[in-house]
Amino acid sequence: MGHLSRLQDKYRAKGFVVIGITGEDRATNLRYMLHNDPAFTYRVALGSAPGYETPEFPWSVLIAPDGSVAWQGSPARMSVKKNLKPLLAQVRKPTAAERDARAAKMLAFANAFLADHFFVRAESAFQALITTYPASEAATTAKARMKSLLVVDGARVEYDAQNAIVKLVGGVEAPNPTSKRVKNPERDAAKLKKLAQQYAESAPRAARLALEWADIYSEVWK
Amino acid sequence: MTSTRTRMVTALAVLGVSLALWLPAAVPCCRAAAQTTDVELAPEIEIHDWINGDGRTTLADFRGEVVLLEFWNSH
Repeated sequence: MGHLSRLQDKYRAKGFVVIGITGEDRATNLRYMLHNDPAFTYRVALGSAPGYETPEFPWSVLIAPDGSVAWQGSPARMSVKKNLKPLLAQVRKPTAAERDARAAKMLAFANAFLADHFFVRAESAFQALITTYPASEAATTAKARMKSLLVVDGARVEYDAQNAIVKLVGGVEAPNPTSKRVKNPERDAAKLKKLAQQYAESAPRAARLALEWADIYSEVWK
Repeated sequence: MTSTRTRMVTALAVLGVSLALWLPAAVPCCRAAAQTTDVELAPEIEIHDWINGDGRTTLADFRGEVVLLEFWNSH
């Protein structure tokens, strides 16, 4: 599965997006990823896609820039030269309206984390928006939100506590590309449970985050 | 008069034959042209949560780019 990160990283600038899709829940999938591809950089969508026939797993579907299915089959049969590159040649620049719509979606996405007091995730989502669509109106709003991120009472304590968990886990939402395979998940789960207790009163959102990761690490993938 | 009528009939017949020859070729041409603008879209995905997401939630949000959907099941 590491090949998917490499493939996306190589062709991302040309307009290539990888989306892993699974019907499993977040914790189950993250356990699986920690074991199989801990440095993944692509998106994982948790849900279903009843319109597709998947005769086997894994199963790849390539979607052209016009939104049509261009190719599907076993991932091993996908040829970068024959199947992917001709589609990349069709990639077009987004229109101004499309850029604005995407920037607005990214802003709404980041705002939802802010409303949930998940400050470190909000910060990374605002930053992604500013980097991707720097000239957009949404990016101007994102910059203002970044400046006032921690003005709410207790936000600084929450932010620091959340960052301590992120440091332990290796990434804000999923382990970051430089993190190593988890060597001792039981020990990490115990540490995270202890942090959850420590933050229960002072930083409840961080405590919840610690428990989510403790749950992920408490079961070793076999 | 007769020769004028004959010429008119002949002209109409030629026009008719020309139309008959042109139409079958014309119809598939226009249908094919319509198909290129009327793309059959990939079925949408129904997603309740994202890892490494950025707020784009549907395939329509990625229109204009190439998307690789990789279906997997860990079991």
